[in-house]
Amino acid sequence: MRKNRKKWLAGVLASAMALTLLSGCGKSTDQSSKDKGKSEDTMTIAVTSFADTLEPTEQYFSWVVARYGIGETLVKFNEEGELVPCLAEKWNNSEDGCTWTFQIRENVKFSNGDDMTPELVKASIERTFEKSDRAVSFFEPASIETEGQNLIIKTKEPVAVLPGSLADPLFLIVDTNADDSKFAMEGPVCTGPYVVKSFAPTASCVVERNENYWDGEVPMKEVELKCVDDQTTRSMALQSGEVQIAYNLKTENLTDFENKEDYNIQTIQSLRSTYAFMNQNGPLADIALRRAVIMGLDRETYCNHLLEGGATPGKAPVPPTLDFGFDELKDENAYNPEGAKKLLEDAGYKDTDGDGYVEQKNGDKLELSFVIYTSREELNVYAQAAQASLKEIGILIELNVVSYETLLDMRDSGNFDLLIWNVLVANTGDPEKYIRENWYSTSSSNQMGYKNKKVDKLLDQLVKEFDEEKRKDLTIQIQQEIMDDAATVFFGYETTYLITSSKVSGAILYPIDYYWLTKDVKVSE
Amino acid sequence: MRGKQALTHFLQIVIVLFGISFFTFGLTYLSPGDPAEIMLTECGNIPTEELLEKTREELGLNEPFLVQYGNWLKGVVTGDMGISYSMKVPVVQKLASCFWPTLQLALAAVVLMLLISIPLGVLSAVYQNRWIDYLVRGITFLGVSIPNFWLGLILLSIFGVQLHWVSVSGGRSDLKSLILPAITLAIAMSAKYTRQVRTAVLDELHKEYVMAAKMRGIKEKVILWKNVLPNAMLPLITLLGLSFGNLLGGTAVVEIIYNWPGMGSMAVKAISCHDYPLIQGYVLWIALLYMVINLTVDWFYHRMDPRLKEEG
Repeated sequence: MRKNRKKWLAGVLASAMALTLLSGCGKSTDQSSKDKGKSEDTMTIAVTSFADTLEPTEQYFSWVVARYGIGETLVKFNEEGELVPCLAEKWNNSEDGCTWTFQIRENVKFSNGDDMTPELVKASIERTFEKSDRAVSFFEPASIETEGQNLIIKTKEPVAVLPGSLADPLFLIVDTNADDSKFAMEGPVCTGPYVVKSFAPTASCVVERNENYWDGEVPMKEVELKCVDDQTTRSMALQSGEVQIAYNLKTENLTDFENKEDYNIQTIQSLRSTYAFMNQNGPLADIALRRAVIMGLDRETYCNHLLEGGATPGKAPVPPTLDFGFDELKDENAYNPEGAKKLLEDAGYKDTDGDGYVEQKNGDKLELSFVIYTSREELNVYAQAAQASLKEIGILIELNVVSYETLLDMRDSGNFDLLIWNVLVANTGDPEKYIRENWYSTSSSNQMGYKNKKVDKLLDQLVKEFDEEKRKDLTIQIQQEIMDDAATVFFGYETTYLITSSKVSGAILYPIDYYWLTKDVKVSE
Repeated sequence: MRGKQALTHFLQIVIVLFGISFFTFGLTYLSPGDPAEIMLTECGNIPTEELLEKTREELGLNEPFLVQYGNWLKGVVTGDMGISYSMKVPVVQKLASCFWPTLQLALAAVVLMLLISIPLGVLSAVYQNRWIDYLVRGITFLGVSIPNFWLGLILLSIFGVQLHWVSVSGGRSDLKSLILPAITLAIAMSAKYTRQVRTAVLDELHKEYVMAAKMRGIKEKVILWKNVLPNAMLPLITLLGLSFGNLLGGTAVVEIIYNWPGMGSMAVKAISCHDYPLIQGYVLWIALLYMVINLTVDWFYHRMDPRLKEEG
């Protein structure tokens, strides 16, 4: 009996200890999370998973290095998507367009205290070309030289977008005198406002103030960038006060923050565009049918109601975020179901078997296969809405839902009538590359059989044109051609949000979002 | 005799591992999609054809299937599982760093689950068809029906957002971050196990030796804890082994919601990136784990049940 009682007592004691342990933990978390919110020189930012190493020449990991406030480039984009000086004070190009001269800023130090000399800038850019396969897709330098405080880059052909290319984080400037084998895990030695303190791949990165920063006082002592992949969890972390800034939240998260004093919401039409290729090697070779398809789609309703404002209705290749004439472009194929029906009838598409859908001109059944992937929810919404809208005007759409991988295969083999696509249109601040890859007649990505000699000619002109106004004018002309040809369905341009605690100031949502943690971001009471 | 048995076991393991690795390699190879293209389009950009070709070459994707598999196998035998395509770190290192958090989570979940399901199961069996039994059965019914992700989000919103007791953003594998994911997993599992314990205990209670012991005047409590429970636990051990293996493979949904840096969320990422080396390493590792757990269960069975020892 006594033995039994002892056992019971031991059991009770053990449970009590376990409980204290658990509740003790609870309390300490409570305290620390409150403290974190209060402290004025530390901050936590919730981000989505990205980097497994901080070596900037690997894949797209340089984006992370730039976003985390560690690395900077020679030039950067401002809030309007325009190029402004950063580590280079100014730049110009020669008359033949093949020589670019960048005047490197003086008195800039790397985080380890070394001076950033033009020679080191040259070495850094050469290192990028040496280590990254991606670099040559921006431009191919014939030579890179220094002359006094200037860096001179020569190319064989004129490259108008060279400064914009150098604003891509891939070309951020690292100290090549430092031991670069440590870059991957300890972070590269750069010139940004923050330096890496600790880095746990796919979990978190803690950065601290760069005491050698060249551009004024850095407000925060320490900032943790924490990977929280799940969208709902990220939103909850912001609500609990554990993080002060949350990136990549979506429309459905807004209700938790709208009309609340404790949070600020910033909204921007991003440069991410959703569109559908129309394969001209099938029934869609007929422009009347293509026009009818586009005219049958009520993109305004899809974006404003079905996506609850999660996107801006599309009509042209380049979103209105960048100033390439969005408002000037004339949309002949705006939503007009009656017009679409008439167009079909005039072109000879008639419903001969009375099933509610039109047949092809030769009497064969018309069934368009629309290939989509659904890892991005909005794509599913667009596709289903399109199917319903086109039914109204008598066009039968068969939705073919596949994985992203299969979609890539189907695009390459041309095995589709319509195929959804979602892409960033201008990561050099200029849509030239994007337009060329999609609509130039011989581009390998153009698998829809779109050919317009005028577009090709204008694109060839664009490559060699350096004058900004003329570039804009050419880009507008090209877009108008593509729209008049009814080559592609432009569904919409994704809206992105940045939600911050109202204690945070200086956090800005950039259209070209390489800049998250900048020297201006700080927490204040 | 013993040595021969060990050798058979070893050979079995090798053959199974070989078969499994060949099948996964084959299936991943056959599934649509080009790892190079997926890797390069991850950020929404369009890679050029030259870049794609170069990447394929670097990753050895241009080689025929058998050559790719052979190269991989050669590496594995020498302890090198290759470098993850998407994460650019050695597979072995990635697996090791994800395994420890998962092991912690699995152990915590199993312990919690046993703490809940054994007492409830026994209670339910002893008071069969009384209100307490109905209550327990009702609760387990609910527990089985509630999906993991829902429970996870509700717990997070109550204990993280409202009460500030635990960290919402997770990302660390420390005790305070462990509590909620372990509870979430334990609740779902205990619903299942409470029913198993109840059935097993009921089976034993109706056996003759229990009646005989009662007639000899031995107290019911003693019979229950000393005789019935150990016997009832035997069939549960096999089940427990499987569940544990399952947990060690990673529980993707719970890990992703709680931002727990374990095997499950890693596996999901690896699969979505067509990261062949990482998927291979993961599958091989899980297969090995299952076999080790099976052997352990066998061994445990023999220890626990003297009858088997005599036969063996």
